[in-house]
Amino acid sequence: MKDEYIPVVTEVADIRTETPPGDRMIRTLRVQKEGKAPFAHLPGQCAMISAFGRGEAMISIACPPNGEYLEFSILLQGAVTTDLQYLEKGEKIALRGPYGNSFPVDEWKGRRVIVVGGGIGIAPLRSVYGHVVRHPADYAGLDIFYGARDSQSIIYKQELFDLLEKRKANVHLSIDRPEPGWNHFVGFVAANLTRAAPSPQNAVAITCGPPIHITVTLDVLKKLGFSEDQVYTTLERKMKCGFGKCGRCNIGEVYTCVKGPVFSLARLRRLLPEGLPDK
Amino acid sequence: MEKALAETGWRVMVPSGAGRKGGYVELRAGGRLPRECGDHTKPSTPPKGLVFPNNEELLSYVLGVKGEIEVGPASHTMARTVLYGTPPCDTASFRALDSALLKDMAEPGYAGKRGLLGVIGMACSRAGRWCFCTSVGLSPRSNIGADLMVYPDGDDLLVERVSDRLDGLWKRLEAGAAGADEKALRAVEGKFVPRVLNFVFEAEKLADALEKAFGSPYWKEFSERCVSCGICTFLCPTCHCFDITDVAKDELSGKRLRTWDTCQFPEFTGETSAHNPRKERWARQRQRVLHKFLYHPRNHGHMMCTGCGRCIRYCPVDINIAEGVMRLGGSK
Repeated sequence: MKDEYIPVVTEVADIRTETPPGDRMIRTLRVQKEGKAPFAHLPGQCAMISAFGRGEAMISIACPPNGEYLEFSILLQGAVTTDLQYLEKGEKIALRGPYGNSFPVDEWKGRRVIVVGGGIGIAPLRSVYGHVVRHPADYAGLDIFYGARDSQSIIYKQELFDLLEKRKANVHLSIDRPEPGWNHFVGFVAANLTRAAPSPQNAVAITCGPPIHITVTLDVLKKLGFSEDQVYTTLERKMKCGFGKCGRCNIGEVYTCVKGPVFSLARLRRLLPEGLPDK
Repeated sequence: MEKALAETGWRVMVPSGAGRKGGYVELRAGGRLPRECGDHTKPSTPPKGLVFPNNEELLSYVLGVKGEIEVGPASHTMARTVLYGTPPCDTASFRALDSALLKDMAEPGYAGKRGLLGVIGMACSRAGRWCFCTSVGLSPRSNIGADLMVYPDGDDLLVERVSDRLDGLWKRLEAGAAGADEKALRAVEGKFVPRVLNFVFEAEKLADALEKAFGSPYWKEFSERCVSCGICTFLCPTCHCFDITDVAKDELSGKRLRTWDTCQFPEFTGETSAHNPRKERWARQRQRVLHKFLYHPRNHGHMMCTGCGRCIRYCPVDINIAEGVMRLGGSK
């Protein structure tokens, strides 16, 4: 029988420092084992990463399925992520997964995909927009709304500007407060979304970010005419085991690590109100 | 039975007696098996710890100075063990634990030990003040979770074969003619009818009623005195939520452990970002009640409560889950 607790030992093939070193530093680790991804995944799935002596943390996989590698954008926050900030290129890393369900990107073929990310919440959504970018003929279009507290905290900067320049996506960036030299939107992501007012016609919207970001985004999408089965979110919950046993990530009878973290708003409503973010 | 059990060479665990903290203890060589079972023999600690210890190693690790990682799996094993004389409430706990921990992806620690455990339940002849097994779909003679079930009948002991797990033992007993036929079992059943219990609710109506009660203000009243000590869950025969923690021996080596945890601790669901979906005491007590009487039944078809009454009896502030469920779920 497979021992689910035993991680795969693999290697950090590359590291990108997304935001400057400091107490909210974000680095993207590229993980590879002998030129291949340690395991196959679907957009929206997560992996449990070990920092031995500290513990494990569930981190969403921040790249589309590609067979070659996995990427994780890790924000320095707790004991495990602090430890992971010291990892260097070429060092070993242990992880297990993939865990959870995924965004139904195949069902969405032919539709416009609207991504609404706040802060580090853009990381799981990148597995979806990256997939759409890799298969442009399959989708009717791609809008990326993404904001962070300031311009320094914007991650995937180069990639997003490239998508914008090459017209592969409509990228709508925002920061919370004005800054000299910032010629994109200033204000919250939801305000940027309200301003651009994308049409719900033949579209799906996906959102992730802090609870308040999700709550406000859901309100805006509703006002724009998106129905609850056109809206998807991916939720953060405290997780320890990752396979539906340890008992802490449930929303009603659903364990987020198994039947989540991806939920349509319609499905969240059918679960108990505990699933919806705090107002 | 003593002889047949001794011949198997298995470790035999029996209830240590009413209220005893020892829980289930190993039967000494030549020791007598319990002859009856009831609230007066039920230990304060349920048997779950035998196969789901409070503290179990999941893996060990050794790190190299150049960042190498070596992971050693833990062996999830134990001596082959038979539990003898478990009251039906404790016996049935294994059905709940098996569904929660073995279905879909198995929890490796539990799976390893559970495969080496046999359960011989005993019909219960005395209900206690806090008992409510008949409200959760069980009874003083239910054999759910048992491999063999024994019914004391005066000096005699009727044995019923419930699963094939203890067939080795069963065959020895059959040779000694201890096995009971249907007729004898039916005849002895009458001895184990429950007396009137203090807490009675209607299991069939519960799920609907509890779902409607999710937003009820009653949860605050129910949990007002709660001190979040978690004893209700640690002493519960079916509660199985756990934590995973690394214990470093030194900078480069250590172990990863699984330990019991409880939904009653404020930080149980606390995320690193400081968001906590169940930061209020009432939300945590609601989780305990709904996990047992709504979520687990939806996922597995039976309640995650066996009516043993320990959580009521040992609660330091007298929170009574049965009363709560009666109030919310419609009492008879």
